[in-house]
Amino acid sequence: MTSGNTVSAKIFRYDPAADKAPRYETLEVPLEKEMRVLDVLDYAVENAGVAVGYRWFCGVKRCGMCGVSVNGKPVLACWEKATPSMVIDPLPNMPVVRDLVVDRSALEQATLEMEPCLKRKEPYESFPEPLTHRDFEDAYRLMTCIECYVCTAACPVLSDANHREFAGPASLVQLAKVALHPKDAGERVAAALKGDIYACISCYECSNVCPVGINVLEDAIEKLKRRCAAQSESNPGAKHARIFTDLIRKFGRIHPPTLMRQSKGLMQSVSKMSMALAMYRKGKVQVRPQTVQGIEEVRKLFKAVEKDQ
Amino acid sequence: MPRTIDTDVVVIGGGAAGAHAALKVHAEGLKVLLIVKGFLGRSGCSIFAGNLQLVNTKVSAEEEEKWLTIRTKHMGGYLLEQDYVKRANRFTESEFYPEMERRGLYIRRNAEGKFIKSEGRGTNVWAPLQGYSGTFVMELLRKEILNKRIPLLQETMVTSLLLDEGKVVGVTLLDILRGEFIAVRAKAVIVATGPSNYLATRSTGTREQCANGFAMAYRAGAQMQDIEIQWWHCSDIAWPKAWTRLHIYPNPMPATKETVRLYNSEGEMFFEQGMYPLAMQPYFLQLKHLYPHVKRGKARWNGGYFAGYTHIDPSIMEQYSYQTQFLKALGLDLSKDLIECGISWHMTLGGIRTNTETMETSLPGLYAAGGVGSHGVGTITFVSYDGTLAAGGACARARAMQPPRLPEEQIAREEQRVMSPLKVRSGDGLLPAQVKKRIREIMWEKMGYVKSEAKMEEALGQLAEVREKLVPRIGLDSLSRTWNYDWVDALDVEDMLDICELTIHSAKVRQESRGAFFREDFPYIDNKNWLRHTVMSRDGNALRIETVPVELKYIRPESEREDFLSADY
Repeated sequence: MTSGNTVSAKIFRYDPAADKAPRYETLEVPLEKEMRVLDVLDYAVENAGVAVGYRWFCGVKRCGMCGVSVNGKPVLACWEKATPSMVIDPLPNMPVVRDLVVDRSALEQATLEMEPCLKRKEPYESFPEPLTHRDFEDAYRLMTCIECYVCTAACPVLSDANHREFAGPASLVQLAKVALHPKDAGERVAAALKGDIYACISCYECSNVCPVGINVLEDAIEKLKRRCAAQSESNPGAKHARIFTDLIRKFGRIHPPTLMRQSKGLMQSVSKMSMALAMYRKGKVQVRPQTVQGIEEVRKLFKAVEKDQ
Repeated sequence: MPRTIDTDVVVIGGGAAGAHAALKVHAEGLKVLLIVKGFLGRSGCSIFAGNLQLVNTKVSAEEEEKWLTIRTKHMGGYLLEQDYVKRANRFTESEFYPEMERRGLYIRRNAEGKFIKSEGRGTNVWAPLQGYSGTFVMELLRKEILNKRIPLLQETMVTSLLLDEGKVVGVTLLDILRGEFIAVRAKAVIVATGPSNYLATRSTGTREQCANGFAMAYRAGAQMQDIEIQWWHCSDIAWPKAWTRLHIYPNPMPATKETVRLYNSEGEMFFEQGMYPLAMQPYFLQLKHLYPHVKRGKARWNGGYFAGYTHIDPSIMEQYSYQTQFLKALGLDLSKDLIECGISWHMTLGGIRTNTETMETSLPGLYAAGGVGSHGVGTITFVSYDGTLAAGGACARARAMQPPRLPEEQIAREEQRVMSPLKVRSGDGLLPAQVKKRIREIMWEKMGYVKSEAKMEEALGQLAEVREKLVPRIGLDSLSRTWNYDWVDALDVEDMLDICELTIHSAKVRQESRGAFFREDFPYIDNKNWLRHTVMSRDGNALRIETVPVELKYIRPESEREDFLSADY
């Protein structure tokens, strides 16, 4: 039982080199004003003498190294406020090194493979470059990404074994950050496709958990996807996105049989025929695409959005 | 013999000094190994560089003198090497900014493309937010180093410098992830472990910064200089504890002439930078103004006084400060609420004694770059200069020499020392982190901003007690070698005790007050006798302390003796 004045923390303990299986260690910690999860972990070691392993350096959202999972939600321990009852686990989607310490090296490698360094078309001239805040507006939204990989930990696609090639949201933010720099001329579409960007299901989990408040999906991933759709002829994901958009532009909604046929081809469409029939019987699809009422409004929206780009 | 790695130059430390050193050695075509106790560009203090000074000393002699005065007088209490300050300013304007912008650094501009600056003297800029500039600089340096595949060991603690015939010929290290002890052979070593250390309860040093750089250099016989002079931050947030390093900048702010104000517990305003227009970095002055309020019980060193932006248009903080989100998370409304503050142990002005033209130390083969050196910097652009300079010297040395011989006996002894904490704690045993906490408490209580002979003697007594009673009780929870941070903590305890004691011995020698250094029993600036550096070195197991005069090439204080609390530096 916890009173209002204590934190009951159930902390994941596991040393794969020495322990047969993970276990939890529960301790009571006095709750202090505006206490953070990191304070609870510090208390465990420094006051209670519980040798839990956790990483941190700065305590104030600069180092990006104190990611843990609290009651199932990936967070930064320095930023997240402690609550009376917490289960503290290591971040998911990464191998455990010890207790709450995870091995991020594979994810960091994925970021590095995106080559997230500025590649200028023209050589740099002199300081200061004649650029305005407007030129940086898109890149600016991503500038305080500290690469804490909390978004990647929250990504449901990465926990799906079918998407091992997906680079994950954190790496895509790093790619977008450099791709959106006004002077960048790197091969960013190729990198995004290599990172299997279309495996992203646009579920917003990354945006929801970002500790520095970046809208990861809209301001990074969708911006890259749009660039891919516009520039890649052959990538199936990019092609699918273009057909999807065209259908909406034309009819105001998608028409699954047309989308399927145009995107995946006749053979794959035929293989899904039984599903299509079932959907037809239940009135979920029509044989021919139907234009929605008020299509003029949809077209106006398209015009507005495309003008904006 | 443990596994051995060969390289030309070892760089220890993953902040701006170490990163610049590694990039420069690599660019020179030599083999470099960069070793970071935490993570490159993530641990250490460079990530905290909140403001960037847009110096332009080339334009006029006045501008050059202005910056010389700010650094030498207001940030260095006249103990800095003045030619060094001039050269570092030139590096800042002609190399640092162009190179960082080339890499992609965005200094915040307005819609017309003009920099957002502090008004009035207009020299601070931000990339892109106040409080975030260093994080951004380090991100770009880190990516460049990773992209160039420069050899890098992270979560790796350097435990000692290896010596052969009085020359530094390599290092020993502990790979924290795997628990492996390794020896590295190198022709030159650059130590760049930073100015801040987590040595007092309230500190700005990050978790891993436990004076290891000072300790390894001192033990190897290097001279230390002015390590008694400790900057304290006056306005860091009081709570929650995790956010101790959240700094409320006293410096000029973006797009306004106003600066943050400090208030005592009765709401009486006692400081703002505008009171001293010439002191752009008024850190020492803030503390002098806080002191009487603590004396009168209207503030405590760890709370009970406040910072406020209530006189400033809230949109300024909203648009230009990284800190604002923290203050909002505490439910503060900056247009009317004040922020409770405490002071924190920040940077050591001194450090390993360095030649400021080459960054050489008193030990052949050892260079010190950045805040770990003795030349009192504390600016990300200056430490970047140091790294570049040290790398130049280290490369010249490495080119001129054959691979050195490794001292096998010393390596064996060091391996034994590093392995010695691997024992399980007994019933009344303590985790090393618990002993670190006790050391920090002693330093906070007895070696705070206000020092005196009596309190320093008490601190030495209490530290001796830690050695005698607590250290023997240290044990680990597990003997697993995989990421066993308790093991690292145990090695830190030794370094912390040595350097805390050294700091106190050095402080006892300086019988005056100056800049960040305040002795209540000597409350005056003694320019007649104390425009001197303290220099300490190891003499067998004894400590040798001398003093050497400071060279005052361009500017000097006007009076021989000044009242410390009323002086403007």
